[in-house]
Amino acid sequence: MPAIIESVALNKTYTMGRVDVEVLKDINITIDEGEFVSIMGPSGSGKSTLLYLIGGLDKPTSGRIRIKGREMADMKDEEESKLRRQEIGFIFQFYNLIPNLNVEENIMLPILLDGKKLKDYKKELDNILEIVGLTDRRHHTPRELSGGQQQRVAIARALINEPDIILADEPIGNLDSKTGMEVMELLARINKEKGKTIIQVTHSKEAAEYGQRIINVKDGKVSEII
Amino acid sequence: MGIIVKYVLRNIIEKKLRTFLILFSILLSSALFFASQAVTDNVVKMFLADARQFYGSTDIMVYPEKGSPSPYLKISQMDSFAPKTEYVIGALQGSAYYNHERRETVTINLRGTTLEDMNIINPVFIEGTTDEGSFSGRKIILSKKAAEKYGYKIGDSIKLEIQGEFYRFTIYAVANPEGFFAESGQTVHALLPKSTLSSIYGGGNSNLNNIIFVGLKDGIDLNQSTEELKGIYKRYGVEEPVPEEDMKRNVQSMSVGFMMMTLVVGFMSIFIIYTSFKVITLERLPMIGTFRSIGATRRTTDLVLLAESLLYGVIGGIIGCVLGVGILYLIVSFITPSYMKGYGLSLVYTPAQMGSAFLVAVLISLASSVIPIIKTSKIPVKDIVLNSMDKKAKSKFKRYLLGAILLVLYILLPPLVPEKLAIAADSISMMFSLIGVILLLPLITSGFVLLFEKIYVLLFGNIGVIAAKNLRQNKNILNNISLLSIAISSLLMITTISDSVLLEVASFYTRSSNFDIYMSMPGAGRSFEQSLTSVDGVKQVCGNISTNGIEVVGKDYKLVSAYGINTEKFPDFFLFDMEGDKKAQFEALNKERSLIMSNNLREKLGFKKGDMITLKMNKGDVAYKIIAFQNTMLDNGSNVMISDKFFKADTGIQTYTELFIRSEGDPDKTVAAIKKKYIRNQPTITTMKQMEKENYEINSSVFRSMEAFAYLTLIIGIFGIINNYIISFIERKRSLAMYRSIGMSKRQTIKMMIVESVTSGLIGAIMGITAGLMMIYTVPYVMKALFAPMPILLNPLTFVLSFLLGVVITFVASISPIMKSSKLNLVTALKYE
Repeated sequence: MPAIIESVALNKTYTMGRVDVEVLKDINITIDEGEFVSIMGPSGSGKSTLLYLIGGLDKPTSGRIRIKGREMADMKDEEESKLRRQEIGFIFQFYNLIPNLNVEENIMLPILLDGKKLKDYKKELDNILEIVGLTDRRHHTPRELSGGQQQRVAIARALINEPDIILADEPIGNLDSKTGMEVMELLARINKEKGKTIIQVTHSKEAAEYGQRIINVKDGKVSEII
Repeated sequence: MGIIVKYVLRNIIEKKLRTFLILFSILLSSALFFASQAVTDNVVKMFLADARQFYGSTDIMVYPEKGSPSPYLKISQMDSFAPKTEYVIGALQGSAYYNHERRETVTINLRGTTLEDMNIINPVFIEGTTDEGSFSGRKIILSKKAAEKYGYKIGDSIKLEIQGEFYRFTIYAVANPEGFFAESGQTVHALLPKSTLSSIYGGGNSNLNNIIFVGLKDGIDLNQSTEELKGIYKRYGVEEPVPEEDMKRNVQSMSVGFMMMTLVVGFMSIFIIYTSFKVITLERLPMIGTFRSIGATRRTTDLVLLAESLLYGVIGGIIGCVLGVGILYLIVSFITPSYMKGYGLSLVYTPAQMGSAFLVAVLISLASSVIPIIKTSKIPVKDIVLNSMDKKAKSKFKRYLLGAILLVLYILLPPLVPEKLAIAADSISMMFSLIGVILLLPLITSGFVLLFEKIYVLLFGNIGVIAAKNLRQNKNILNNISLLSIAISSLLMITTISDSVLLEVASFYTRSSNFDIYMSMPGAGRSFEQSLTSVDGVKQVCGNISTNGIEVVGKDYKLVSAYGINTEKFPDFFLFDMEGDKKAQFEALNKERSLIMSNNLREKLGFKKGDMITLKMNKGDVAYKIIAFQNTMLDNGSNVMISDKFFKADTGIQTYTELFIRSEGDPDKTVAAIKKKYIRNQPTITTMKQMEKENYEINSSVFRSMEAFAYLTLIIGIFGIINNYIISFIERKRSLAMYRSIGMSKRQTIKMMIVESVTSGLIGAIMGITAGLMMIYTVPYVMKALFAPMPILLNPLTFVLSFLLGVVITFVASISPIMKSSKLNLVTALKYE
């Protein structure tokens, strides 16, 4: 399988007050297309920072990230945003849905942002609602959904534009264990059936084991890859 | 408790913009309430001062009229009444002409009295006197202004023409421009020893009086005394020099206008404080949860929040009272005609007015905050601590129902309430319309969103659709739309009323008249009317008799004006709006004692065609048949027209009160020619254009002051909107970061936020215009209750400006959040916000 994500000598330093904190130090990882990778590590180890750098939501202090062979550092805002719309889907711990939009509208946001017509994606929407099991909740607002259902909406939103990469930041961190496992099953199925590359950051060993590889991050460094 | 208070105080200081906004709203409401209450008293005082300059402390004056047995008065007749008086002073009034360097003839009003008597009535402040003995003989006291203007100093000699003879007087003293000598316009006043003036007028008689000034003792009833003196001086004029009650009635409409604007400002303040306290209570939830979990009672936490509200009220009230005095000063000085500005401004207000303004501040603050505080109080402590409060969208059915009920009441109240309650009910109805619209705003905004989604997809693509959707149920944006609606509606209302009064009412007299010059002159009769036509530029003249304040018997009502008209000429000099054959109806006035009444009077007094109306005329109660009605705003629509034949007989007035003149060529030149020819007859003459201009100026200063209230509403609204945008940005950081995470570019984010702000501005403007028009609906009812009817003139430019204002305000207020959105730290917003 060809590499879909590469990080080379990646460093990230935050300035907190007058102190510089090195969050990531010389990270070199490669993730292949269709892989399901879990990033684990203690709180503050830098695992989420790594995920956000890969997704282009943050800029590295030094080093390079290549997505499908393209240098993130060379991209301007428009290009980077387009990459996030078309090639990357994000899933967050706190779902990050828009409260005054209903399920359908939340899922279709990436389509709207891409300037496409909603009516052309009706079939895809039905299909995804079927996959995440929310067909009967399509007109509900996030306030009217449980945590698990909200996370399914977030997964559907991440998938609607058929991106190749799914980045999930503690996707079950806010869910009970049963719902959490249901969400993990869903992600595993998406990885398997749709061939999407999934990178998840998690504290849960159980969730991490859904991945084919586990990258352990400690004190800003990759300590081991299992 | 101490720790809680400390925590609250720290929060008040930290949230500077919000604290400022709440205090600003409260203090403005309190200040404007104070100024609105006190403005009537001050305006009355100002006009009283102007009127009193001539009559000083006099309570009643007695003077000869046209039908009086003698042009002079005997002061001895007053003997029986004297015990009730502080003073009874007789004086002689006359006029003189001064020819300045053979170029200009100046009329001088003379008063003949002793300096001692004058100082009792109206003190004279003089700057030194001549060394030539006391104020007696051929001496004169001139005003400082006149002395300076014509180049005279103490001891100089001045030549005056009195009753066709020339006399020389030594200038005994020069008086400061106060009281009798406080001159306005072109009038010059001078004081002469009474004996001197008497001997000029009465040959050998050195003690003539043609006016008696009466000062009553404390506690003596004015009306009763006036009646008593009327009995003593039958067929003489006996009246209060300045009828204070009439003056108060006249300025009541001004006070109602200011109070209505204060109501709108107050409503805006309540809305801002209410929404701010919703945020405050939400922010304080963790504090409330923590303190209640460690033993603080619900009452304690409620009291702390109420104390915070009280603190805002007290501070706002104190500053508001001080600011109120300043605003009152500005309003009074703004609406004071320029000729009165010389007296100097001193404000009158009572401790009760100040106390009530302070109370308004405290009540506004407490009343606006109590609902959010009670709601917070009801949340179980477990839910607060675990942050497990019900976040489900609540049904807004009750809110919408209340909004709809208020709108129905708003429509029904004005036409249904009895006249006595009209001003209060119509003001309440006006507020109902505004509150009703605000309550229905979420529903209306959702409707607009559906519409805008369809339009924006064509204009702005999918980003426009997202922007429109974001407006739905967004409480901060709804608050902004509400604030804009209140501000724009109040501005639109006052601008429309102002336009209507300034362009319609103020110019009514000139628009409805068919002549160029208005003139009045003592003693002008038919022969003078005839002789006027010989003046260069005079084409036609119509003399007219009128009198004010005639009582309608049995109705407890006084007419503003009654006209005794020349039925042939008068209808041609005024444009009448009346049904039927105008000419025939005017001719019919000559056949019997009959009159044409204004439609406003018909409605107010409940008359119909053919009814008899009895008027209290000089010769007694006289019945007239009502033969026709006409639409008019002249005299606020309170007038009747009677044939001059009957009017002269019933009132005893034989000379014209006013003359209407049509001019050939430039009316200004004609006015100059008339002035030149009749200067000695002391004419008051002006062109209709000049009259319209003066009318406009008087009205415009009052309405510009009221507009200032509306602009203050707008300023509070703008601060509120800026505050909402800041809160909204803080609350939306996560949403904005999420949009970016799913591929929204910075450009798209900016575009979305601009479309959102412009759209909320558009909806705010539309709703503001709607609410403004709804409030305007009640205005004619209020004006009718004040007996100042007025047509409403809707100016399209005002609507266009309101739209632009709404859009510009929200756009400018959103610039800062838009800039910040570009620099947003996405990771922090997504993970930790």
